[in-house]
Amino acid sequence: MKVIINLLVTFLLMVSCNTQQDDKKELTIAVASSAQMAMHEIALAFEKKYKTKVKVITGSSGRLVTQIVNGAPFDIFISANKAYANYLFDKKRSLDKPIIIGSGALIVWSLDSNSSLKDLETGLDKIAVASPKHAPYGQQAIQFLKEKKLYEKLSSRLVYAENISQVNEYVSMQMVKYGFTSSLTLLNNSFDFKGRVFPLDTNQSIAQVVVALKNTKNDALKQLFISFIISKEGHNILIKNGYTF
Amino acid sequence: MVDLEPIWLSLKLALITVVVLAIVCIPMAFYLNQWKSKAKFLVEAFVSLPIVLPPTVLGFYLLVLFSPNSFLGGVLATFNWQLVFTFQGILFASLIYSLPFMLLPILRGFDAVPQHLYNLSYTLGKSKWQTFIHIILPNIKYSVMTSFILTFAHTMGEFGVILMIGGNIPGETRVASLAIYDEMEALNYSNAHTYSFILFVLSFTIILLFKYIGRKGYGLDKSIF
Repeated sequence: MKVIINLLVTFLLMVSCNTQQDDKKELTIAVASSAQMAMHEIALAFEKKYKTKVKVITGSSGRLVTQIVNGAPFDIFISANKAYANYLFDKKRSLDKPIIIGSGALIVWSLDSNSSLKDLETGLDKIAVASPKHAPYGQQAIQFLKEKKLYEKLSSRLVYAENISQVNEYVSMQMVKYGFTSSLTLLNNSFDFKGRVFPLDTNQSIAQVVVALKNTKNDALKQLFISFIISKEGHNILIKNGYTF
Repeated sequence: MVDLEPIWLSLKLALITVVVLAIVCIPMAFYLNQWKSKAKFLVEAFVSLPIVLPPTVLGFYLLVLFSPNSFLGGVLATFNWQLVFTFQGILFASLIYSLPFMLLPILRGFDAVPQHLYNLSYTLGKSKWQTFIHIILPNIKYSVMTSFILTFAHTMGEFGVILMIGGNIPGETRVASLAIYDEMEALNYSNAHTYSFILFVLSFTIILLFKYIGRKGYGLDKSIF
């Protein structure tokens, strides 16, 4: 009995010491997986400059949108494409219309030394693409293959990953020879890059956007962060991470 | 070095889940065991649902159910209480998610206790309460220990439900399993390995500890007979 009472007291203490987070000087930004490298860097720079803590939460754009619609306490949302952010604007979940911060390019990545685009077409090895159902880069990859009349031929070699982060995992662990991924996840300092990258001759690029959300308070701080992203300083970080404008 | 907060959150979540479910499930299982009704199997099937439902589905329904836009979420919000994207929220979710893992082994334990043990105790002048505490409960100690271990392990490894309803917020709902996934997504494999290793060692130690306490308990049981 004594043990049970002790456990109960411990439990009550544990529950009661939960801190409720209200409008402190702190930002929570929800970031699409493909933008996470750049946004971690921007968040660090912002923290240093404005002495404000920035929490970065990453996930697929689709899941983050579902959570925002259901009341997730996020201040800002960086979306991998415009459609998701527009959806939030239409649902009156964002303060303003989405602003474009830059674009990433669809690329092919391989760790194999004898890889080439020719081999991609004619070889037998597996090729990873992100799910075309909800990942913008997956949609682009499939569209690219269809444009080049390669989709039918390659469809049996395609492996579908949840998102481009998983494509990167498959490639970096050499579970597949090729992966259709984003320039944004590979061209940054924190990741020590190996292998070969093949740019694709497609004139499409995927614009990423930012919106401030209505779910939380401190609107001034949200505006400050967004203007920081599009400032010269933020711009330089984005360029360093492979964004094009 | 990795941030240890997700590990601490996982531990806290798993321990509280075990304690709360133990308090709820031991009486519930005993009541179900004593309940002589044809509807019993329906109740049992209903509480077993979390085993068959995919965690992300369960998480999604909980998210929609407790969202501030929903009726239930709205009612809770008037009391200034939010279940989604908070620690209380993932605790609630894991209580539901792990309920069958705590309840069913204990229920099977009660089912295996022969009726004559009750009768014996009553004829020796013990009350119902005394019989339950001193005779029946020590007899199902192994089942209870199994329940504790299953529930603890299940909560430590929980992913889908927490990802949906918790929102992966650092210090609030980012538990160890989510931290590992995040590090993997960010291609920080060394951090992912570190988290996995800590989680593995910790869980193993705690399960060993449960087993040790369980064995000591078993030694006491023998003295009854």
